Amino acid sequence: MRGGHRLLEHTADLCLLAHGPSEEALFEAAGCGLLAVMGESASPGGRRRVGLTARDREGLLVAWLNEIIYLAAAEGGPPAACGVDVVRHDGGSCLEGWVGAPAPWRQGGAEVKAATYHGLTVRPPSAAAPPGVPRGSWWAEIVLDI
Amino acid sequence: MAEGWAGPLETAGVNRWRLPRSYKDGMNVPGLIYADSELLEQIRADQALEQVANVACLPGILGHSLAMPDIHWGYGFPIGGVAATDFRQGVLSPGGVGFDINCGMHLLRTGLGLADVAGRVGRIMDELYASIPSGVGVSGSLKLSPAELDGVLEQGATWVARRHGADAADLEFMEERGRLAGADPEKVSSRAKKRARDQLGTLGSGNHFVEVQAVEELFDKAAAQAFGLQEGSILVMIHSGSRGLGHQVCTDYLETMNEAIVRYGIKLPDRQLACAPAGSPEGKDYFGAMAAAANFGWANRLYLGHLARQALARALGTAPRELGVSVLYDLGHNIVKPEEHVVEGKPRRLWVHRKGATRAFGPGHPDLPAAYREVGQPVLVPGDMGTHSYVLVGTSAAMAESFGSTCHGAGRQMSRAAAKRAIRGEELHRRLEGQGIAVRAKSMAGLAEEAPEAYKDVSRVVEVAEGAGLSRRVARLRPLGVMKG
Repeated sequence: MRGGHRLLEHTADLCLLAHGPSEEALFEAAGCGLLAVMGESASPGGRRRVGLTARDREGLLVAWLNEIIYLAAAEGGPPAACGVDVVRHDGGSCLEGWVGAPAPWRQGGAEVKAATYHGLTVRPPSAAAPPGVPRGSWWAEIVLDI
Repeated sequence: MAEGWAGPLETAGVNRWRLPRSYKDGMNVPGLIYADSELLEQIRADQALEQVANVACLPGILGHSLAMPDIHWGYGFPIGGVAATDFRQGVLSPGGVGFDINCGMHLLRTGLGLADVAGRVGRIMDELYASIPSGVGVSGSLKLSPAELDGVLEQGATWVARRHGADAADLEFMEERGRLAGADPEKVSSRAKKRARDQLGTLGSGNHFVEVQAVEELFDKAAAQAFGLQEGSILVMIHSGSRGLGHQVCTDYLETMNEAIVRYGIKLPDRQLACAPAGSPEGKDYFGAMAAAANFGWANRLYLGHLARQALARALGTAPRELGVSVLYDLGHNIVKPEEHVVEGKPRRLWVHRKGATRAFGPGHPDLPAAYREVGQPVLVPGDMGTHSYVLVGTSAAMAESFGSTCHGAGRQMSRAAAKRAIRGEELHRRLEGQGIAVRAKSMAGLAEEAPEAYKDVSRVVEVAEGAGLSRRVARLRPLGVMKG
């Protein structure tokens, strides 16, 4: 993973802060942060391609995380890993990436219902980044419904 | 993200605070928050009141953007939020229902008393734990064919009663008789259906639970008698919802609604509130799918109750029918429904969104079962696993002021992460067992997240609701055994 992630305080749900040196790395870090909440697995597994489109950058991040949540629920466990190769904004927004094979649910992992639009922030590198975000990083905050 | 809220509030009567329309551009109505000064201090600690103001911006919202005493910060709507929109001019908002569509409560009364379960609660909890699939990613014993799933989505709890021998008389004691009209399985995506095929009869995780409880104190003898409650009576309370199917329906339609707000030129302060006119194709499709998911929720809880009866009978070495078990009531607290209420002196048909809020219809309402009509609707309010839960009754005042709504629980005051930092699951387990509460949990971390300290004082919440006239206390329930997913 090329970026990083951590959880911020939220009364009822979880707020994920993710960052990366590029937009692709940010999306990948957000995916990895979600997988950490769901219960990380050491199993490398195989890879499958994922292609997504959305109206805009924020919608694309929600769609990416909700794709992982859906795959975890439908396939009997969260993907063992995930990655993002391309994020493009050309009229709409699109993502090309991959997810690992499903790994068994681990005890202590959370059932994430969905990624939400509430308070959703996706920002290019700026001076106003939250504490802990390396200088020059893309960053995002997204609330996950638990 | 967890900064406090310092906006303006005006006193508006007993346990009432008004958030004026002038607070924020776009508010169509004021907010109305039911709280005393102590609860208000807790409520101001995060952004729940900003969400009350945001909800007030929904097109066609009527009266107030309401916040019940257990309000806390959610996403889009606050948890504990109620919003009614005009049936023709108003909107439907999936964010006003949430991802766990028709998450709700199911309360079984039994013919058992404390003496009947003395020394046997551990065995009962073992049987419940073995019989009811719970936790993250578990499957139920029922594998539904596509046609069977469509049957569940259309018929709700009725399907379970017909196919699995649940007592049809219990349907009378479920909100909407366990089947919301207007459900359209064709509006539910194949993804949502795929998630549901083995989840009927599963509890889930997080704050979902099964508790064995005893009636500790009665407050309203007449209502208690109507509800069949006596001091020392043993009850089984179940909290669950529509599982992954409901989550996916909300996810799918949030995307639909985010397109719709562009098409219909709707401006909102939070995309999670995305909505469409109720009469638009998007609005109609959402309601058809939401109602189908709600029906899955009712079917799920009735089936969980069916499993609980069998487990109870096995633990006590008798037949289920010997236990005198019946549904006291079942209700949803995440739902939007068409209802008729009086607004400014005139009866109007409305869409009432309740997100972490409970319907609390007062005496005489025609939708209530005949046995309860004289006293009002039972309201089931879980507290936390270490203290109490309550049975309340709806009031005429709630009908007049809150679209027949009241609180739904204690309301969180501590984040999950903070709870896990402050409390170790193993220690909590020991502490609860020391209090005489038998605990069965899949995950000690999950148990810590749901620790009593993470929640507000449910007794204060229900007292504030009573002080405001939204509901009255009927019975306080004490947990004897707790099962968490």
